[in-house]
Amino acid sequence: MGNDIILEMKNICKSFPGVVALNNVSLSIKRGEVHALCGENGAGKSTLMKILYGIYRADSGEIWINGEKRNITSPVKAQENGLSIIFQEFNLVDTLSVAENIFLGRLKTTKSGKIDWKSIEKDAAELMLHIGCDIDPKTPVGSLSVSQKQMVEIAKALSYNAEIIVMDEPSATLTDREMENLYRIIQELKEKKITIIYISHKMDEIFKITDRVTVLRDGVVICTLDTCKTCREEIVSNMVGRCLGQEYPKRENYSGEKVLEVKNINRKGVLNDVSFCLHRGEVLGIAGLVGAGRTELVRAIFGADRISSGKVFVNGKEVRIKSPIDAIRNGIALLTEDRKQQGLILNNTVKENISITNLKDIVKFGLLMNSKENNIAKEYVDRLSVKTSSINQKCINLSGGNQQKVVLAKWLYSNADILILDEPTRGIDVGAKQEIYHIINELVKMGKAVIMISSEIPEVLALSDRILVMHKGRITREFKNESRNVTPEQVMNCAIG
Amino acid sequence: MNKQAVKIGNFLLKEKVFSSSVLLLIAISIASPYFLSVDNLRNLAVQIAVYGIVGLGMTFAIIGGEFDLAAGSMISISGVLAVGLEPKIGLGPALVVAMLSGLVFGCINGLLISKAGINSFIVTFGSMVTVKGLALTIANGRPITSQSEALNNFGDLRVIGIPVMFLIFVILLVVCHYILTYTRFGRNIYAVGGNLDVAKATGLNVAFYKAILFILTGLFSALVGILLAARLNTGSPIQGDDITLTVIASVVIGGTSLSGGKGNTARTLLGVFIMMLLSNSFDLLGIQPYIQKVIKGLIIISVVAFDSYNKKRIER
Amino acid sequence: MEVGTQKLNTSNLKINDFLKKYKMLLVFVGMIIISSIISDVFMTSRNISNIMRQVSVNGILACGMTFVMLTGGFDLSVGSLISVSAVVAIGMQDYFGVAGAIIIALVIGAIAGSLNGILLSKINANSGDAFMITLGSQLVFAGAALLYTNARVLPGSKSEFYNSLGQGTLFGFIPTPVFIFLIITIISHFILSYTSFGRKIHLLGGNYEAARLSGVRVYFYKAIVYSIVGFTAAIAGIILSSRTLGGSPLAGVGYELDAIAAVIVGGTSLAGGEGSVMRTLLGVFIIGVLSNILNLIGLSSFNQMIVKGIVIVLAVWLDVKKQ
Repeated sequence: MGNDIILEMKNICKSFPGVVALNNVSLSIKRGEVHALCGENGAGKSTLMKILYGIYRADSGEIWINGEKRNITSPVKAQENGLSIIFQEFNLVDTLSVAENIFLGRLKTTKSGKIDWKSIEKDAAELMLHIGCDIDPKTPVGSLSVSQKQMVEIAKALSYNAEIIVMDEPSATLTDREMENLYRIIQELKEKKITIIYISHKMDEIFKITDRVTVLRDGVVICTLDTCKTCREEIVSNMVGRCLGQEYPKRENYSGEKVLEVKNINRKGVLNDVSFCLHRGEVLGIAGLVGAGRTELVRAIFGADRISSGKVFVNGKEVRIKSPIDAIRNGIALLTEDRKQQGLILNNTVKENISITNLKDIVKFGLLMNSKENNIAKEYVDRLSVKTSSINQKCINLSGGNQQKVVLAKWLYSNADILILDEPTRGIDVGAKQEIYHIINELVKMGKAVIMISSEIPEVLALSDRILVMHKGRITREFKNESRNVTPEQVMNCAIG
Repeated sequence: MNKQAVKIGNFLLKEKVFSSSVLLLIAISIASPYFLSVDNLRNLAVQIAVYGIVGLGMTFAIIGGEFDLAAGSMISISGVLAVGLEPKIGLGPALVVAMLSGLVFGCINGLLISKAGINSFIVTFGSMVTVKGLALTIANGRPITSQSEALNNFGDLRVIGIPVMFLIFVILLVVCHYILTYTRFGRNIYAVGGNLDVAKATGLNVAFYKAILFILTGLFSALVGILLAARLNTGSPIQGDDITLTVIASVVIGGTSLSGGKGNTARTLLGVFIMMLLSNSFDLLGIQPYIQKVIKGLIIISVVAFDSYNKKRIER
Repeated sequence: MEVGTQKLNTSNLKINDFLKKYKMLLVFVGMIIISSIISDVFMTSRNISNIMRQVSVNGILACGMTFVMLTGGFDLSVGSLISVSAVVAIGMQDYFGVAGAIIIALVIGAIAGSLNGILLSKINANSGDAFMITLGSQLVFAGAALLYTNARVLPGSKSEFYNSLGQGTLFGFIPTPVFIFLIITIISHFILSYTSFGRKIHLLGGNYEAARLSGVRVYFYKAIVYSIVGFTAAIAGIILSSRTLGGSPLAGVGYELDAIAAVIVGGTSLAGGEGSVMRTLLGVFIIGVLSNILNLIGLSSFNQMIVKGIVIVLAVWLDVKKQ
């Protein structure tokens, strides 16, 4: 019984253009266990699960369920095979009721073909009750809280008679009490012999609810451990355990006087009394899990979102920043985490994307001075060695790394002294990453101040002079890192809370 | 008893459009004694039926996240075909051809949108112009007088004093309500309009449902074309011109959001009712048609602006 | 190796870019060649001048519409605004003189447009909202025009200058409305291509959020474009009322759709960001020449509608397919 294998993924390989996402990954899951899947962002967890659910096709490899080889080509196929996934982005239609969402696409009808709402609502209510959740099945999903929506997803999975439920970081956005409820439900599901694959970074919950842990790193399975026989440190070191060093260029410490000070910033439900300061010539890293409030913090400072209260000082003077325009005027720049939606105007040219932050500089009497714009664009393209056929190339045709350099170029051109970089190396290849590191080092050498948010802890450790760790909208710890002596485990421990 | 009063009070507060239509109804009954006369009520019923039937088709489209600008032109061409062909091929076949026109144009629109992937605004705008051109060509630019006694009589037919057109509307209303509430087909339209990605992931044939929306508006419009021709004893190639936008506005005012996934036939009925009640009241009160235009415009602007402002505030 | 593929890619892109840019121009040239073959009259100077005259009103409006559509917006109310300015420009002449009346009409056009703009910007409208709201203001403006004249057509202006705006010729051979159209086109093109104002409109249409986060005053630009199209509608209204020698409260009915069609056929994307006045110009002429040749071969105005509708859908289909 204990060795009854319900799911086996054998030698799964998957590569995307330029990246090997999964390299010969094998995973076997026992019936009725709660199996944790952990790894850093980009380790391949999501890709693996998307293959399991038929969203991606593996380049090679096999999936066996209940001892039979299965060919899963679509989510619908996956559901037929007793698989269900609860993504962070819920698969629910907000405008429809709880009951209808649970049974969407297979609403029960009477013999005459009429939808039997009474019985559907009864079934839905039973399912919800089954997982200890008391929501009226007639409620529209759009009016539910995140945790309630999660319950609906679980009920939906059960309604498919799912034997295996994958939960993708289900607790990332829940409050403590909601989490307790989730753990209770998982326990109950386990008693009903339902298998759960639980993706998470959070060590305490892994130890609390899971039976075994598989650690993925860089698309390879590092190890599978029995949770009761391992310890937090072992998992963390397996997660982050790549050798640091040459990957990150070295630099001296240039820290100088204070240029930015943030006092008691609050934003309802997102940021809680955040204060910190930033010095000339320093890189300040902000670490934390997804949803910890890092992006929200820098967006608030930049005036992209409103804050409920708090003060911002630039060079010792209080400034009121109500919009990005104010921020730019005060020498603050924000490289957003989402390059394509918020950073670049993809269908416009490289030069237009560079000059956007400082159009005044290339305008005389309202007229664009073409030659000046061209010269400036060329200057920045050279300086950051952006690989593009010309400054008149559209940004959509550049690679991720070069797009990111264009975003950096536009903020350099804005003459910002304070550069906030939110996930500057996300989704770009190793070579381009190193170039970005060099650029960051150059910037602080020039006396600029840099705030860097990154989910890759080694990157934060190697580049930052100081590190702030955020958890649930608060700064929970500050590390001094002049000698690069902070360890990933230390940061991880604070980020987990 | 008291509880019920509170319930009703809450309902009236929440459903502002409904409450205001009740107020308007009371006010106009007092202001114009003619309002409650049988003639006027019949007139109003026919108006509601015409706009309501197109509105039912449009309700499907809007719930599915689209709208159809060609509805008016399809009304015109169906009327022209029914009246124009009747002397040549007989009434029955003429009516069949008229209905087929709605089916064919609806199919073309639907396929261009769901298969070729062209923006639905452009497609239905293009077919609005094209179909209107066809209608004008067929009718030679002039209204055609109907020579079919049967058709003309049908337009004035009453059952227990109620215009038969209104009865047809009521029947269709019930059928559409049933389809939208009690069939998988209807519910899948909600899913497609509410969240296209989820609908796809659930395994629904999204392209089919998108196409079917336009086929439905085509068929409903064609039916209205025939009914109007019967009522007015003519098939006019510009009959439907002003109907489309009024109908879309009515559906939105009834509380069905243009963003899709929401709405029902009762709301459409409410929207059509209040718009028709407004025109009728204005006429009775002798308000000039151009002032009516201004007021209608202001109502549309404020309802949409309010709706959109609220929606975005919630999203934030 | 990597450099090699990149080069290949860019040369492919160049061909694509070329086709993209000049596809509609090729269509236009093709139309002219075919037209001159099937009709002897087509290439005569008289006919060409006719075409120019016919397209000028729609062309002026389409220039303004290009601004709006570049931001991803939409304006259905401009037809009614043409009517408003037509009746105001004629009606006010008795009180404020010709110049005064023209100025009042232009100001009303710009202000009425900006009312749309401010509202749409305030609620951060998507294209569906813009559709409904400008539909509403279409009714309001149409009603206002009818109200102003009491639903009558105002008799034409007595001023020779005013009537020459629609009917006269300049320098002996350029029809005045064509000249005005030319000027508006040049100014619009200049603004959109060579000024920071135009650049910002392109940027905001390309990606609203990115432009906002880069310090562009998106609210202002999203509103101002409606003011611009209102202004061009007023000019169109003045020319129309002069050409027809009277101020009709229905003068502008349907013009908004022609202008939108011209902009779309020219290849300006409905989503905003991409497009130019030159493309719009092409769209205006394609539709204008199409109408003209259909006229010359004796096709009724009804049949012309059929062809027009199909051409518009086909043009957008071409646009979709290349993506």
